[in-house]
Amino acid sequence: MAESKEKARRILQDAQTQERYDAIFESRLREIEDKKKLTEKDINEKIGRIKKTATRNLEKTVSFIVGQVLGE
Amino acid sequence: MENLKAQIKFLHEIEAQETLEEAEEQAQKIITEAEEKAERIRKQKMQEVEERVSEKETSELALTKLEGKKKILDIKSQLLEEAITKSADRLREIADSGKSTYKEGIERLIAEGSMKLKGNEFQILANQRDRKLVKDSLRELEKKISKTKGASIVLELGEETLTTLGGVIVRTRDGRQLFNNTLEARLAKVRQEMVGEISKVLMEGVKD
Repeated sequence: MAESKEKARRILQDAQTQERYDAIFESRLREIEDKKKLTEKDINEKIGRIKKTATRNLEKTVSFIVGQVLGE
Repeated sequence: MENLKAQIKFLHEIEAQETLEEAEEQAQKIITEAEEKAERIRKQKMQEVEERVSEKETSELALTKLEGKKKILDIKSQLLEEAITKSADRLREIADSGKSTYKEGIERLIAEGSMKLKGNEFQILANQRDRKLVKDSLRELEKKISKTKGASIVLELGEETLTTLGGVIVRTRDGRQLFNNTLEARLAKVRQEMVGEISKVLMEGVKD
């Protein structure tokens, strides 16, 4: 009986061990960090595309603005 | 006698067996209950972890996305400013070159100012470089504007000289009304009123 009580105590202690849940939480935090990095990468790629497009369209934009200013 | 002893021993053995079985059953029950309780604890703890993770994920990813949006807006704004600056440079080049494009532009700016203001007599102000250009265009412009406005229009070159990239200020002769059509004013107006269209041209074809 004493042996069973000791086993039951260990089972409960194991389930209550906070370190186990902290480790899971830390692991999930790393997943969030990965998602953040991925989001940042997407944003930087988008910025790259925006800059490239704006450079390609700069001359056309300047002509458009100048035309508007001169009332063409 | 021997028979009785054997019977008593037998009964004791049965009793002992029953006691042992009860004890084992009790022991198993303690463990089963502990396992069930442990399972409930695990579920509860995991739920808490999930809630913390979800909260963290929502706030951190939302912040990253928000910062990203701001970064994109800043870049777009910066690129727009570059286009505006380059346009100002281009306007300066066109004005300095004295090309027909600019002469035609000046005439349109004078005509627009004269059409927007009430009255029939207007003074045109320009910078030193453009004064002759303006003066040479006035007679022809008077005819065109008179026809459009349906009244006899008089245009004259004002005495003051503007400090401007180019363009003109049109004012009524009595000075009560004024229409600023200098290139700086036009550029500021275009920038303010057409920022959507300008951005559309600048960002045309950008892939999400």
